[in-house]
Amino acid sequence: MGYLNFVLHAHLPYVRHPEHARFLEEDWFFEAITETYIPLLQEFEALAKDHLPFKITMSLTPPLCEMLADELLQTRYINHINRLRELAEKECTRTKNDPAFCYLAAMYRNLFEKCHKVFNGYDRNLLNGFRKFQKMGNLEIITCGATHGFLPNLRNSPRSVEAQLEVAVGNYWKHFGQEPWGIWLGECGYYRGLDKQIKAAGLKYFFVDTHGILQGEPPSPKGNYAPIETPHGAFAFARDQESSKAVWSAEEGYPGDFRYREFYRDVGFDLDMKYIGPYIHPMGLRINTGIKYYRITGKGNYKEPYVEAEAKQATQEHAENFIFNRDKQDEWLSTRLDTPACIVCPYDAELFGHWWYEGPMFLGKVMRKVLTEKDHRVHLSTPRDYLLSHRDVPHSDPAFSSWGAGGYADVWLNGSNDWIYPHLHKIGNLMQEVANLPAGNEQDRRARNQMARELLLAQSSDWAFIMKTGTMVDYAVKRTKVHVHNCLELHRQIRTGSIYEPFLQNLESTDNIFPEIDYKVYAS
Amino acid sequence: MKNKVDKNSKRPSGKSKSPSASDTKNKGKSAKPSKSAPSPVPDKKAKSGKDAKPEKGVVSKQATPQGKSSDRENSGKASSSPSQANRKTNAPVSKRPATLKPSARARGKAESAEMADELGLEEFSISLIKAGETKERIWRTKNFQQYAAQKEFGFPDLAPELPGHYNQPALVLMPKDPEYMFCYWELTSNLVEEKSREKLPGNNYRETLKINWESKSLFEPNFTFIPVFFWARKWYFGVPQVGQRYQVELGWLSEGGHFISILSSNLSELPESWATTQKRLANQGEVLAYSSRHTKTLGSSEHMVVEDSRSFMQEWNLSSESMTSSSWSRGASGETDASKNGKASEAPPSGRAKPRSASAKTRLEVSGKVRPGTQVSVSGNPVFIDGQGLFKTEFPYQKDSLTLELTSPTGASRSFTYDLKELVLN
Repeated sequence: MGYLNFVLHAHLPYVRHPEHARFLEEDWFFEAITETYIPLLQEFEALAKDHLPFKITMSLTPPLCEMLADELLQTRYINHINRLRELAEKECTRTKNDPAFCYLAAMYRNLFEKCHKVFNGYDRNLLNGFRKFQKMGNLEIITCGATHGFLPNLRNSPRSVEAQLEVAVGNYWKHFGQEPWGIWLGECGYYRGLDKQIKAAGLKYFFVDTHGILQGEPPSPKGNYAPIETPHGAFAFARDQESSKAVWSAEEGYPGDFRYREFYRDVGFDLDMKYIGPYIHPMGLRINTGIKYYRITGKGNYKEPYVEAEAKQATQEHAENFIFNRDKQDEWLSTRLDTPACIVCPYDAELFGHWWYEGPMFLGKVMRKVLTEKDHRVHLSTPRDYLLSHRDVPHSDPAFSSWGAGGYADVWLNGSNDWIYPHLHKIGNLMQEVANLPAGNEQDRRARNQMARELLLAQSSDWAFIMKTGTMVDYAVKRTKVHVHNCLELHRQIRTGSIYEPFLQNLESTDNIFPEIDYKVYAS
Repeated sequence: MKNKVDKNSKRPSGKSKSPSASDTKNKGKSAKPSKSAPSPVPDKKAKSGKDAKPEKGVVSKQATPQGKSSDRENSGKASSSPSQANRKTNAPVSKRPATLKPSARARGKAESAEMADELGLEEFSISLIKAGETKERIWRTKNFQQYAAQKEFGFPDLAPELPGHYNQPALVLMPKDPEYMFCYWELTSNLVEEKSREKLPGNNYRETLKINWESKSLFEPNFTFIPVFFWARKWYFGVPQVGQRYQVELGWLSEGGHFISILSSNLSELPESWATTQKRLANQGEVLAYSSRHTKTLGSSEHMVVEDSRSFMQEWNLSSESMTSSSWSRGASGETDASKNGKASEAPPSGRAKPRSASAKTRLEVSGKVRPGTQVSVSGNPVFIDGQGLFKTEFPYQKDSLTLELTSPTGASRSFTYDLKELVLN
């Protein structure tokens, strides 16, 4: 029996702007709640209702946890979903004479109503939902670097890597009341020797991309179908390329099926400005609302209305295909491995639901099939379960790798974003310098803690990523510069003993991630 | 057995309605207009493109210098940044103390005339130098606009300018992929002056990066040199050997081979190339061969979303800015850029990288005159100003724009962006 490990990496950068009544980039978070997190929780609820003991692993990154638990963002999400409920209601009226579109408008109305109900049902904090399934033993929640830093590019700054890990573990404890077993390294970024810090942070396992294991020294004889134990005693699991490709691939991936919903047709862009104006950005900028009436249909502009029943049928077929191939994969591997194959299928959580609207349904069907059809070779598992059963694994030293384009650091180190590293490394050095100073008064302590927050926020890999992809670059550049600038200013104020209270208070209220942080994590 | 796995993994089972089948079915319909929602659907191009980013074209059309302040004015008027919505009503009251005033950007309008005078750029020219031809463009500028006042607290309207240097010598080496590395450095004048005393009299020296690695035997080379420019302050280079541990030194190399090391970097290790790994693993059992065979493209296979996005954006004229609400997804990897553009588009000065729109041999000469005492940097690189305020610098053509930044002795600063496309195209 092979182990089938679904790993969903749920992450968003910390975007919270109380100084503005509405802030466009906060919509990333609201969209993810509506389209990904709530649909996933709904699938979990459905499986649990049928007493199906599903198993899945999710990395809920510290910034995401902090945002999910933030009262301001919770309130703003309610406002957001209320706007969508109102829009969907109007759409039902507007489309009443066209059965195909009217059906879809009603579908969205029901979806938004459900989101509103589910969100309130978890007391506006979806962490309550994830915690529920964690306690039930269905969901293995792991952590991630404190702000999703790409650790290979931070290692030149003392204590930055350790702090990313230690702050994350502390934050996990705050939200989940226990220590995490595993970590999803930001961008799956690993470099040789990082296992020492991972182990020191109390983490038992992590993930690398396939070539991290295959280029390891020595290469594990079991390839990427069993974890390896690293020189410092941590365990590394590697991604299975074949199952990844089935979902990610542009040419062969399931989400490209023409019956699925078309992401790029949204009423936010399609409808008349006078009509849609109240539901897009107040400045008149057209944005995705989440109401999308078309299916992919084919390559090109021609689009046909979405047919929900056909899309559901597609998820059924793809779920069957996915399981069929995993069974065959396990069958082949079982004759060549002396231990059960450990197939690791990691995906960005936001792929499911946001990009691939039907993704959560697909996932639910896969898990349901594995659990209800007894003839399958693979069974659902988590890395923790695997390690509890199989501690005798090959020893190897994984190699520098990431799951980004090209497999290494290219995405986060190129002509579009390399300018950030002299600054990131500098403020990392300054942070250590400040952390090693003799303790000061309470205000000084707060300033040092805030400096640590600003440093961590600047280190988020999202900014370099956005600079590379070329979308919303201004925001990413500004976020990087603002946090670096704040760090430098706080450092100056701390060193000169001239901490300006309003400045500090303002930063504490806006960049309020990790209220529990202790700057001493940077002390050498 | 192995083949069977592959075969079955490629597509959904035969009974399913596969994407390829749908493709065939819809081929004949591609020319038809899309069936749209019942109410009038506005022209997508007109709505999405124009509404989304009114200020964008302002920048791209320019062949003349633009002060940053004017750019910011435009964006302010158009209020094009949705992030800034409602900012005026929520802006905190400024109570910043004098001790917190680090730059002239926060000064009031009353000082603008004084600052404009203080930062006079009397003449400025950029020359594009290619083999056999030289093109020159001269701008003479009299008036510059003041920076907009920066909101002091909260998320600012304008990104704060970061220091151009930290007055601390540093040379940091970072791995990019198995074949390329990146390093950045900062030199201080004291260090350069001190080290320059080691130069042998009568020798010509040039600025050089020495690349060291661990050789496998005494008879193998373990270092090489590549010419660099100190002012570049960063460099990408292709490594001589993959799978090695590297260290670099920044210094001067004389014609006679005398190397003066000014700074040494950290050690940094690179993995072997993926092709080598695949070849090696092919002979190490079926499982490893199978594992490595399925990793055709390293990293995630997130092409789908980005590719789709870009093709539609092109067809519908949806700018990337107008698609903002989707940009958070990790699914939208920058992979497409990387695979299409390779290293070339990422080219800071580098021996193996190519600039985008001018030949690798094309160089730029930038010269001008400022008020004595003014500091000038060209695209982030400080340039030497003589006692008369004259400056002149030369470097490889890398980008289609050039930023000139002036800082007065009192700390007031200005910057101007020059679009070089016209110069190149002409």
